[in-house]
Amino acid sequence: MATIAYVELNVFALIILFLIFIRTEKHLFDQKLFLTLICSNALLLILDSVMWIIDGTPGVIARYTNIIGSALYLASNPLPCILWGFYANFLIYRDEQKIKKLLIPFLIPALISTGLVISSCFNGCIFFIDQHNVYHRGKLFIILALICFAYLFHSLILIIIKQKQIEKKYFIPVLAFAIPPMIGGILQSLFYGLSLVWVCMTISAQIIFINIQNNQLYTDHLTGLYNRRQLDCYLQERIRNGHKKHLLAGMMIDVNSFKEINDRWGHSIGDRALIDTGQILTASFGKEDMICRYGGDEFVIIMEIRETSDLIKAVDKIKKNTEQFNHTKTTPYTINFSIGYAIYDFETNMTAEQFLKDIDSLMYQDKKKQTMKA
Amino acid sequence: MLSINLIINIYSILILTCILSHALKQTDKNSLSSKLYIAMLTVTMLMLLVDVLARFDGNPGTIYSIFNYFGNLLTFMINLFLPSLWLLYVHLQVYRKTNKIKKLIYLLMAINGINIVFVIISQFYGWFYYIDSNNIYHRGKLFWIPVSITIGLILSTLILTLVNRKNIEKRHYFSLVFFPVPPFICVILQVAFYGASLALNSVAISLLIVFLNIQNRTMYTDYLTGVYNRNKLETHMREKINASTENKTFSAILIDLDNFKSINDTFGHNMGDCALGASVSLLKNCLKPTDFIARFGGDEFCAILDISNKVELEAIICKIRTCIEEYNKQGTQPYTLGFSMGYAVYDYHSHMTSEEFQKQIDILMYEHKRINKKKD
Repeated sequence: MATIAYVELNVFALIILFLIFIRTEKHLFDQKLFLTLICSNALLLILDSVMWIIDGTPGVIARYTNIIGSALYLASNPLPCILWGFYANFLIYRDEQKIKKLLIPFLIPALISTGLVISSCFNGCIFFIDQHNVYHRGKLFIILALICFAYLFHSLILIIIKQKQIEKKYFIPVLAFAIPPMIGGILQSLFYGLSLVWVCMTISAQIIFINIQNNQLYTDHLTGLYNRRQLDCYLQERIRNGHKKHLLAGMMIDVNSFKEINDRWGHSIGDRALIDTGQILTASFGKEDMICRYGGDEFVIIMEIRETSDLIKAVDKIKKNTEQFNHTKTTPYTINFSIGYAIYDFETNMTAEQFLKDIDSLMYQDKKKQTMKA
Repeated sequence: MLSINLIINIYSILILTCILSHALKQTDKNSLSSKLYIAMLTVTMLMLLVDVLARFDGNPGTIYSIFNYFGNLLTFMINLFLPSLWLLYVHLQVYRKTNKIKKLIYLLMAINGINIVFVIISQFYGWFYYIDSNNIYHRGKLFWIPVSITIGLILSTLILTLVNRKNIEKRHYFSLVFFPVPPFICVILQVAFYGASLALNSVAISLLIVFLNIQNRTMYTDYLTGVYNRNKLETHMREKINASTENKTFSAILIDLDNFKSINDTFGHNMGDCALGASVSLLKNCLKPTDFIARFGGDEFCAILDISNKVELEAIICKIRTCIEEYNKQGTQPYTLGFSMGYAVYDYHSHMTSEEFQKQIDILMYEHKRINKKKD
């Protein structure tokens, strides 16, 4: 009865992995790593099911299937842990070469455990199959468990130490990844006969998957800033829950003569200008400020400030950074902004849309002033 | 047996919690369709919990009896919630009108209310089910009534989907039709193999599929105009290039709104957004529903068509031009629309990448724009 139930649970997890697999993009390096991780998880679920079905079945064929299946299963155990380590590493350093260099030192413990598992087919140090064709753990089984645990632990420590290098929005899901398999592992060692680690890892994969997808929903493809959808959502929420301690300020920024850059140098240079703009803005504002690409060449920043002078300071900082960019530029174009900014007055009960319109028209006034000067 | 069932149910609840926490973060969580979806998630989680309680058969006189009593009572009371919510959700996807749904809400609330009343009365007469003195659950004589109402609700939802399949977005249709399939398979398996009842757990899978579809749709849709976004354009074009053969390739049109910047500057952003919306509906009218339209940049669109020869493509371009002229003649808006279009049939022998091909039509578009400007 337990066999059917475990196989059902594994099939359940496999279906979820399959759904995640067909929905994941397959282009970027981290996506490929993630897909490999999913496949290794699926492999372990399948081998686990095979072991459940074959365990205790009499016959020579069943016996050899059980030995080979168990050996494969145990040898594959470190695989998802290694892949998870690579994935965490990549999220921190964003460097493919680094992962390739890590490959050999990372594989050494796994090779040792594989060696032990293979030898175990003959001497039973990690596992053995008794005369009733029932699987048992061997004396050195703990080594295998420790190797897997060490991989996970290493990644976990790395994530916590280097958390500043991980994008803020990735941190929690990446950290959460290790939790379900660890709980599963603890339960499994407490209650002999439970088999939960790989099913729990499927939950981790789901957490990562939904979060990565969610992040793509909220960011602008080109600049990596937030997109308009997220701005609308954020501004509405700020206005609804505004508190008196802080002032809510908004800024609308338009890239001057962007159309000309595009028309004259072509799209890829135009895109370059937008990416540069994004970088200038990221350098000019703090982590708490919300920077978003509003339209083609328009950007909106929403921030919470103490006093009005903070807003003026921010505008000065943008201007300074822009000058610096144009001074040291290696690009055929120069970047200049028209800026409109205002502080949201909670007493007017303005909607988010009206507020954006307000700073938009302030921006146009600035643009007019600049063209008159020119 | 009990513990395994407990594990599978907890597992399903964890997966649904994961989905729920993200559904609550969604931008449009206050729309009716999101609210219905979130309600389905919560009800399924609740039913999974109650389902665990309802399996505490045997061991009379212990805590088992209390668990079993309330587990079954609640199971029968909330039995119809999920199919009712599902019917409402599909109804909303089909008719897209919130006022039409109100009558249906009242009807379903009445059915659920009557069901609850009958379940309570049934406690004394054992109509639907009864628990004997050994704390073993038995079906009652009228057990078939709640079961047939559930089946009836699911069937009417399925019929509603199939009959109105033309009103439903193609991208959403599959998950709506597929929704009852996993529970259905599980019920059959259960009858055939006497395994654990997994119907509810499989609903979790159906809900996951719906969730992934909704996410996918938002991820590849341009927020403002509702057509695909640049992200999707890249993948779609790459797929088209990979699929093209010597005899069958595809065409692409890059469309730039001529005076979008000045529309924005003179009439404000709202008018600018309106012009973008008008351009999209113009394009949709001229192209086939199966053609692919994406917003490429601020004021640019890219259409990908299953056309392999230039004559056919030029006919479509002609059609688009006539459409714009007609639109401008109507004069309902203060602005006039003008498209600069670069278009080409993908040449299989050129082995161009998606990027190179985009560059080619981009150059053609700018040539066209220059000619347009000279005319002015």
